[in-house]
Amino acid sequence: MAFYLQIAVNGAVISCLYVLVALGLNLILGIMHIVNFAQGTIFMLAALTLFVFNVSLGLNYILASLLSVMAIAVLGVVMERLFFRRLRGQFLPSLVMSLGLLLVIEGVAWLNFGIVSQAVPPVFPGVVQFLGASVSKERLVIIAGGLVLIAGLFLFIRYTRAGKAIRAVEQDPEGAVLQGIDLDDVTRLVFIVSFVLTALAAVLVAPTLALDPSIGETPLLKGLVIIVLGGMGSVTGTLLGGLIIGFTESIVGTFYDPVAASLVSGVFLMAILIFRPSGLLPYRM
Amino acid sequence: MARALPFVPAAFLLGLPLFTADPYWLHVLIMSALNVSLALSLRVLWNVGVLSCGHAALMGVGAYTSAFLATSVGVSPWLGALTGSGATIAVAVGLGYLSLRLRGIYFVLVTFAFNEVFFLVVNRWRDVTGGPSGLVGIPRFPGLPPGRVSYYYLALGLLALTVGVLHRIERSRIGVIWFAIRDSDLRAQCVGINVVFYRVLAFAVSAIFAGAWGAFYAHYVTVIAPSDFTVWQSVYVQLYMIVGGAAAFAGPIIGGSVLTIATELLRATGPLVSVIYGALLTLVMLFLPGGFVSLHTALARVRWRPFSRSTA
Amino acid sequence: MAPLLEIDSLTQHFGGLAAVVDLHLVVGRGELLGLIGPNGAGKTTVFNVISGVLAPSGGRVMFKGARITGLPAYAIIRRGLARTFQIPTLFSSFSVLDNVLLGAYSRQRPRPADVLLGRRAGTDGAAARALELLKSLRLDGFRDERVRTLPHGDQKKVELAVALASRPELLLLDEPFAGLSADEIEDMTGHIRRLRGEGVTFVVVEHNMRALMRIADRVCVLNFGRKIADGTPKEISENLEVIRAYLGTKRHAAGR
Repeated sequence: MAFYLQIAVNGAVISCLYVLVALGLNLILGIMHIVNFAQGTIFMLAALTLFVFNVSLGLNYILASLLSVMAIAVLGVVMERLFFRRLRGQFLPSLVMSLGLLLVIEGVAWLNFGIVSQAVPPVFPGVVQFLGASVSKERLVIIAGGLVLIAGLFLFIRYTRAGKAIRAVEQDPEGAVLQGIDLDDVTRLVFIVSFVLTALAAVLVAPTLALDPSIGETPLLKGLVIIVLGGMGSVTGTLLGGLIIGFTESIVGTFYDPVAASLVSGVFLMAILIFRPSGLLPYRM
Repeated sequence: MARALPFVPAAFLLGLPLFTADPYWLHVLIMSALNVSLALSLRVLWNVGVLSCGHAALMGVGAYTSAFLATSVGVSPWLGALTGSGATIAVAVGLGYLSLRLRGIYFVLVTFAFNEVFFLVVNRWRDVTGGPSGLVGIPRFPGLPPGRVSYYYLALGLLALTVGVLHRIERSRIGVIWFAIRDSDLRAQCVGINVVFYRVLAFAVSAIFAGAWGAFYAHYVTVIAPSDFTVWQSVYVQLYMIVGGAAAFAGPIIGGSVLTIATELLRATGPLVSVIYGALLTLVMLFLPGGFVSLHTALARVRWRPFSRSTA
Repeated sequence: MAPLLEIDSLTQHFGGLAAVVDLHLVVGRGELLGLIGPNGAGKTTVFNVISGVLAPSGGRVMFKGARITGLPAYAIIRRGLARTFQIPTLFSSFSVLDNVLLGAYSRQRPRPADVLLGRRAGTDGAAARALELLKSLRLDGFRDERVRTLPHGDQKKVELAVALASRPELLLLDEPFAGLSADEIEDMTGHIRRLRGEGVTFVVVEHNMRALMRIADRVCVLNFGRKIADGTPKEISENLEVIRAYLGTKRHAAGR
């Protein structure tokens, strides 16, 4: 029992992380028709910024996280303005450009951060005993935080003015523009929301990771798998896809090893693309 | 006149070892030939309207097949290289048949996943691939005179074959049909073109050169590891093609050679290379979507307005 | 002898929408059948099914006595059937001549020798025939122009030339007169008549009733995917009240 609980907690942690990154990818995809391959490096930048504020400058975790997320939000505005807005809707050029940005950001990080992996000290040390299993508090915080963020995004998209504008553009860009919605405002907003979501995911899990400039690659890859699995542009599909991938990985990772787990998601991705390219759930936000 | 143009660089490259036998520069030129050929063969897929992120994995199939046969079975590298190319075709035809309905982002992602799966498989399958540390002590091609010059000429010959064959196919009826499929899939079907067949054919043609150069690479550097064939290596090949200019046959040739040599001149290593390449790729997509080959037309109508609002 | 084309209880659904319902249609050799009906009546869907672009939900299509439903589009085209599109969808980056040559390729298999010898595409007999075809449509002056630079009327003629290049026995024309001036309609009509003289069978979807009635042997009316009338142009014209009721717009009845 304790063993299975362990697997379940693991699966939930992984699912939360991947879903948050996938939601960020999916927002940009739905509005701008851009697959942002640089999203993983945003995750990495947020975690490394947190490290700099928290460890190098000695600020406390909460303050360091806030500063890091704010920095990433500013970066989102800048990147949207300078790069992505110009290639809005041009799927292939924007995709290639995002690959270019990925190479630049990750390369710069390697040059500045070095190849020795670093760690942010744990914020919530200790374990809780639960049904005979010992679960680290850190993991429970990640699950709780992840759920709050996902719920927050749902409420934002559904009930706020800005969220409604985003949905309007996603469903009918021309109609939305005729309704007086400024497309540039919406795309800027989408980049901020997407980047902030990814950054929050990063600061949430950073204390459990060995930090180096390559940590964004796995979330990016898994995020891509999830949006394909769940259906591009579908938020509920993303949740479902995230749970499937998270738990598959937890189970395979426990019984075999992490490489086998990644292999399974890779094969999963190919199979879904080949046999059901529209994803598990139809396209709807 | 224009027909004679390719012979000038050809003569120069042929005669080069008479003047310098600096192994370092010969190595740089060999790697240029490799990168040019990979980019040219990737462009075959581009010609039918798809972008592949799996070219490094196809190269890896050729490299690992030939290296495994040579190290574990004792097959001659020459025969191994042929087998490796054949294996690459088989993999490409299989992948092509499964993924040929996909276009755009779906094809990019399926090839991306393919490259990841290949990377993970060679990492795990230690008995055959040597796992993360790879295969070492791969024999060189037998019968070649010792020294780097012989490999230089081998690369030059393989480059000439790649350029020649791909150029001819492109100008033949098959090439015209490829471009037609890129222009309009539906229309091509409706003039009686078997779109599926020609797409898979493009995949196979693209793969055979990736596989052959992979085998060449294995028997040249004599050490291969999974990290030589990651999806980021595939992205580099895209970069040579796109930065050079994918619309023209000369584009990947210019892109592959200029970027490889420039990287060496800058003595850039590791992360710095990726920063430079990434910046180039980003800038080219934003300001010179046609790549280097479109430079003269782009300069003719310079409009430097980096902060203007986008116009759709 | 079997009719050239026989459509038997054809049905096509898109989700919950029935685009074509239980359609029976027979086209004899040498005939010119007009297919009319309001927008959304299912005319283009019928073309898409016949040419293999869509697989029908039910029913079958026989061409020259053999079943062609389920075959891929290219295989159907190779059996001697060709179509044009409502909006010209030519290979826009190709020259007029190259477009026509592509149309001709369906009847010839590529020879490996052509590739190995580096023979330039279109240097064989196909090129001569393509040029002849262009001449017959008075398009030979534009042979090296890129099609996207041509005026609409000429693009429609290039569409026709591409379809003809595969030497079809049955030609499906989707609104051949749409967007053409009176002179161009006259010209197009002349070409269609000439081709009928050469033995080509036609099915023509058209909104321009006057032009269609002049060339059709028989006209079939579709509405909401069902056949509601089938007869000679005269019968259909006399049935005008019925048609007006179904077509609903004065434009069609008045025939522009």
